[in-house]
Amino acid sequence: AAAAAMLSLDFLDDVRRMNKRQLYYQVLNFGMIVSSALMIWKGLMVVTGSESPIVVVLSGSMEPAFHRGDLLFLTNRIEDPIRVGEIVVFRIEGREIPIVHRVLKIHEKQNGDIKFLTKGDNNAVDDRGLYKQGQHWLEKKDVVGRARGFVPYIGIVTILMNDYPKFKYAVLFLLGLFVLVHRE
Amino acid sequence: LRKNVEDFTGPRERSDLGFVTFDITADILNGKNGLQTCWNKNTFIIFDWNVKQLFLYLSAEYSTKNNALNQVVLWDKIMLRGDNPRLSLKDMKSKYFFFDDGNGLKGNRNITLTLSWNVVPNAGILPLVTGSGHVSVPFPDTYETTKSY
Repeated sequence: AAAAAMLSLDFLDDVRRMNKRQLYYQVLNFGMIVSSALMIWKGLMVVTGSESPIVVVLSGSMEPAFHRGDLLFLTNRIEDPIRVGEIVVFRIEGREIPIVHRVLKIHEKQNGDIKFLTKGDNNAVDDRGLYKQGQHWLEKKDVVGRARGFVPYIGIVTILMNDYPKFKYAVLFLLGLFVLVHRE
Repeated sequence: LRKNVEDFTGPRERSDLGFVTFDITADILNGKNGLQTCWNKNTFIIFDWNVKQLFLYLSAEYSTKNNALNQVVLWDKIMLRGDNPRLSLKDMKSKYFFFDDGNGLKGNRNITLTLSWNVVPNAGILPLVTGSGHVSVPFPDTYETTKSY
């Protein structure tokens, strides 16, 4: 216990010893890290054509392929036509939450206009019940992207941060603290 | 490869409803430890160490006056790693209603049925593969109105 007390005092001393210039330097460093992360994210958006190139699976409706917390990598290139069997991530008009399901039926006109129906692998019925009142089909504009790859489990952190806001603040606080104090 | 038997169409509201019964025999090669290779150019390992499951689906593709391209999934199945990779299903009815968007099934001579699958890895890319071999099925020119399904 004494050793721990000593360590925390050293820690605070370090902070006090940093003069103003060093503090500004650390803040700029922090800003650069945040900007780089944003740039990478925007770059991904451009390359994949999707406004949300990485999504977290939120429900169990695609089990056993995907579970809650899995991370999906999407592309949304216009040249890629929507075909049955593909896993699409879409948003229903007026709702914020994206849904990850599989395309069950498509009807495409000569000019490329397409309407399609989706269904979750783990659901007994197709998604018509989920669509907006009076809406029977999905269209290209509802699509956020097509799932091209995935990594399991990693997205759990995002779900935890959503469900337990205290956890999110704790993580952000610790991150901020670490970056500000760490001397590099 | 599979063969199948087409049935009949019936109008529902204003859209054609098709009924197809089919047989599926498929042999999806299962590599025991993923290290075997087959030199026969027609076979290859599908189930390797990174494959969690295959999502198989039988889809019907056809063209109508209303729509240049239509694809309808008639049947699907999840095949987990470790399941029997040989499929031999006979006299299967379609799992999902085969509704057309309009009346394009009546007299449509060319409905192509294909077996495809989505490879779901433990982690990584999600490819869609189409099996070799597909069957063309014609629908008759008249509706059947009383047959039960």
